[in-house]
Amino acid sequence: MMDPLDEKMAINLRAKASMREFLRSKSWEEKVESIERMNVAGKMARAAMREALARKNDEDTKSVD
Amino acid sequence: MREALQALNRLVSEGVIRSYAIGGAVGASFYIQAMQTEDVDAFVFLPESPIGLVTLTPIYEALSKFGGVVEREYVRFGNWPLQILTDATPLLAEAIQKAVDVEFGGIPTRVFRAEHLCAVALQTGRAKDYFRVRLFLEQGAVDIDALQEIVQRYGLKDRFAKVREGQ
Repeated sequence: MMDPLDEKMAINLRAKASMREFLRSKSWEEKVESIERMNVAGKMARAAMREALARKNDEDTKSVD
Repeated sequence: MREALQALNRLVSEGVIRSYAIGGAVGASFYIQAMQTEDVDAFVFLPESPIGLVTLTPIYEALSKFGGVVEREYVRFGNWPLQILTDATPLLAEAIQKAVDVEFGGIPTRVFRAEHLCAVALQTGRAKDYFRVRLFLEQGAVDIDALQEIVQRYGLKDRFAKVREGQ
């Protein structure tokens, strides 16, 4: 019988491989669209991070005052 | 990306460049899963210059004329910054020459062969480039014998071995 941890790892590897195969099977146009979506998500995440940092800096400045 | 490819095709038809091929992550996504990138890398063959000077100015001027917006070293078409790179090394020249004719949304274009994408990535040698080569290998998206032959010719054997070890 397989060790439960090995079994879990094997399931993860199979899931990863099938996800990669699914992603690979998409057309070039679909893949480029997904890159565009990644870029939009990245921009939104960076903007949110900048905003959160600015808010934190603002709060830190106020608490020092 | 369609606008960028149309502009590249116009560069060829108007004689500003001799030919081009898409490389980098966008080129790789033709063969393997999509990976995050913020630009399109277009490798171009420049026409012979009578004085032997390599300048990208005519390309940037033409791309602006076709509706591109110059931003630092890129020319933006819609969402996509286009980076123009030249056949600066013999490997890149070979990669452009042997690129395959494909279509993107009905627009004819050219993409590096998988083996050249891997060899160029090995030559560039950043962590993300090695990772990309590993994906090509894992996904069986590259002809190993053809890649080995290129790797041998361009002195990239050690780098290739390192990537294969990490597989």
